[in-house]
Amino acid sequence: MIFSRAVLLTILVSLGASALWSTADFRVTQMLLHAVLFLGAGLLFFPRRSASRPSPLLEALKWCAWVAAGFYLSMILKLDNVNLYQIALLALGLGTVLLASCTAILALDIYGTDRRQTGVVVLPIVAVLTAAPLWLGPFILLMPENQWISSSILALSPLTFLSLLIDADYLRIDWFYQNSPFGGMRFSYPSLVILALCYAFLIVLLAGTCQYYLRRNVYKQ
Amino acid sequence: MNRLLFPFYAFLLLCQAVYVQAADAVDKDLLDKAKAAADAGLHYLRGTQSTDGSWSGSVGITALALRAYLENRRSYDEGDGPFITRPIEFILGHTHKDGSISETNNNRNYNTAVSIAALKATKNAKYDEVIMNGQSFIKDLQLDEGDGYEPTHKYFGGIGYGGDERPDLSNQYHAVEALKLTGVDANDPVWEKALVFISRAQNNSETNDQQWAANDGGFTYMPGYSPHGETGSYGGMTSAGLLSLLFAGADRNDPRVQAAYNWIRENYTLENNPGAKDNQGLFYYYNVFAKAMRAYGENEIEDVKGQKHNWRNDLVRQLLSMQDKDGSWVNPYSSRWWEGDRNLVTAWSVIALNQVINKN
Repeated sequence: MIFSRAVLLTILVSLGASALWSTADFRVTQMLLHAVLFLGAGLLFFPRRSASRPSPLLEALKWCAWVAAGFYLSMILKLDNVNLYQIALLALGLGTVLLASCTAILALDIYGTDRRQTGVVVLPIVAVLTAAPLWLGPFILLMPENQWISSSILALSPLTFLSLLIDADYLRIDWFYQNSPFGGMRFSYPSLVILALCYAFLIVLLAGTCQYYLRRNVYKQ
Repeated sequence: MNRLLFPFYAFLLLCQAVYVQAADAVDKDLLDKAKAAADAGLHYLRGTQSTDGSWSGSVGITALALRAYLENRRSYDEGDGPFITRPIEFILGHTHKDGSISETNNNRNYNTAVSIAALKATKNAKYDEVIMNGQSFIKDLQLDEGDGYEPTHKYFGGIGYGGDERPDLSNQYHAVEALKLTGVDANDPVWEKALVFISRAQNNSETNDQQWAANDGGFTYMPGYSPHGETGSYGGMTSAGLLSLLFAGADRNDPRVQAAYNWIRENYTLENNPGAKDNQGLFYYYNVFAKAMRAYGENEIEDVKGQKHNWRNDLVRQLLSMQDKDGSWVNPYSSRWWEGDRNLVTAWSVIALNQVINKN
């Protein structure tokens, strides 16, 4: 099983930064910190690459499900008066984002021959997409006001997906508001259902790519 | 004796009346141009109104445009036809169980605040329940002990966008204005708490307990942050702060009010938004400046050099110079804060002109 831990660390850093800076909303902060803790702990149990494992995708799916379930249970035990529905959604979202990342990495890793190359390709993509509301900020200011453009950019970031799951307006938390102009622009967060379908489509597409190359490799051998 | 003095007294009274009117009024030719400019702005808005009565598909912009009509000297009302009744229906069609009025979760405070202000301007009692629910929603957004914020917290008393808990002075001013215009009781605790937050956004170390507070008397966006750099004061927020202080119950002699007014005196200009980068938020500034100056009640502003400015004349001249041929306005320097939307900027400009025209 193959996985670039650097990519996971990027996601962890993004979530951790959001948690630390969103001091105005303690509920969101606690949830995000828990998510970071569980992702960190989950890394310790991430399945190693092994020739005996029949399907790396299945392993990735299992790992994502365990991390999401662990996060969900810990939130129930830790927080008082929690909204179980919201936490369940966030756990589901975490699992989805992780699964999308896993399959992306897997597909690229199978396609390539050098693991380092995989990391080099995936790491910047995830980082760039996550931080899209930050680095595209100066450009969006130069463009004529168009809420569809700004909303589309927001849809690219996994942080948008996660914040939608807990109904949090992450662009208006202190740090984001002060470092990205998006909070002052006209925008609409994308529909959660549509975004979830996009993620599902991405996973299916990448999984299909992955399976295709796995079978081709087996056939060649 | 009295008969002999009567013409003298009458002459004195006449002189006083002429003087007061001169100080009060916009110059006659400017007043006529302001009326024509407001008419042209409303004509533009009539042309861009959607069939459902809305502008730009936004509850907030629709409410502001509606207010521009309702507060105009021509006294538009629901009897004037669908161009007034449809936007009201559009607004009412976006009311929610929690009292908010919004098409989006992102700007619920802004949208609800300007909506109930517009509904109040209809002077139609049948909207009272919607207005009361809106007031309750806005008051519930205010951060206090019930939300875990002690009075010592920098956000105590603040109101934010409504999708999170981060308050700022811009949201605060809209909320305070809406609550004031819709007649919330002066003894309601919301005012006292609001004053705490408003004071903490002011660069006035005598009345602001925040460490970052400087001492120029102006206001910044939120405690400890300005979008134009560090914690600097700027025109839009200082006018918003001044108006918020007055509406929340501070009187003209309050040191916070005096400090804010002195900042305006020291930085007086309508050619740009003083203290702001690249003229961002320029029309927001014009709009809130007009309302703040009218609420403060001074007809002329004497700057620190001793020069007196009739702010109404200056504002009208500036808005006239920036109006496009089609009657609309738009910020030519920056689209930040939605100022690339002609409907919004035109509505703000007409409301500002209404503030000037209705005084006369």
